[in-house]
Amino acid sequence: MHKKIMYICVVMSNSKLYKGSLNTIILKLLNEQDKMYGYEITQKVKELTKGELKITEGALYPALHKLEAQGLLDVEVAKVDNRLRKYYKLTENGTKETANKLEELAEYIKTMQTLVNPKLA
Amino acid sequence: MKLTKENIKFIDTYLENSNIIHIDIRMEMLDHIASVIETKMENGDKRDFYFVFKDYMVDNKQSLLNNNKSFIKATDRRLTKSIFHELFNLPCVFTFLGLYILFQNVNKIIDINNFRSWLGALPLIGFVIFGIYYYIKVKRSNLRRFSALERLGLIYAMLFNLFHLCWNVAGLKSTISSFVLYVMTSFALTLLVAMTIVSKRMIYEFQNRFKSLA
Repeated sequence: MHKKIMYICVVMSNSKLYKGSLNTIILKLLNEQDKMYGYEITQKVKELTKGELKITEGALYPALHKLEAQGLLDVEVAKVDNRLRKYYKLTENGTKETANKLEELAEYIKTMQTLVNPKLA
Repeated sequence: MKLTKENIKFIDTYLENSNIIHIDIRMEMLDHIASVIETKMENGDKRDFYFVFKDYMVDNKQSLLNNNKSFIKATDRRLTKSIFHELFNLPCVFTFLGLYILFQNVNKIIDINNFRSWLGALPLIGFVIFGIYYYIKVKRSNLRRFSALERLGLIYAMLFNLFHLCWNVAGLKSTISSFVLYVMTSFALTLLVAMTIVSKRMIYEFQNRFKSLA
């Protein structure tokens, strides 16, 4: 129940289709940047999707902590503007998992396209 | 516009009073809240820090508290996984086999009926020693309020009580065969070795992560 509520607030966008892709989004962003902190990830997603997708902290941080617990992310702490900031970066396993997840997502999109719009597929 | 040290302290105290006790999760929430407030103020919100903060908390406090819970869950999962993995590493495998062989051989010299009662109490003695080691190490390192370390203490306390329960309440000391007794005792002591290795690793990890920032 708790998980369900959490996922509903994954995105402020009206679509729930993004909910299963949150980990892939995080991994992909971290694959492109050396390291990122939580708020930076939310802002980057907002910027890249022109505001269509807004990740809330209620969804982002549990996902980050889970990925860290799975050994896919490593953490670095730095002092920035009078406070401590936790940066996340991919581990070696994380980099491999990103490639797998992106491949899975590409397959999923292809399959969906075949179903929804066969002409384009 | 950057928040002042006083503003940061204010947010930190607020979160601490909201029962977000672990430093590692609190600092992340604090940074998130501070970043949101700074962005709002940079984007033209002319109100005083306090009002911007208050509005943010009205909308997001529950979500932050849920974060705290999920962080603790993830920490528990991580610790349990680490202890479990450690049990299959060489030091623990050798400890288990070594202890089992030792008990078998000692049994040939000492009568099992005299041997049995203190053998079963060994895990409890071991747990107490581990508890003292853990407390001193964590206190000396000044790492008392880090999530993984506190939760490890909790796992330790739970296991201690479980063994206590099995040993005393279930009356195992008089009913089980010597084979089961040796396996149980060896496993309990091996578990302690695994927990000691994991706690050492965690303390090292936290010290490394935060030493340059003290």
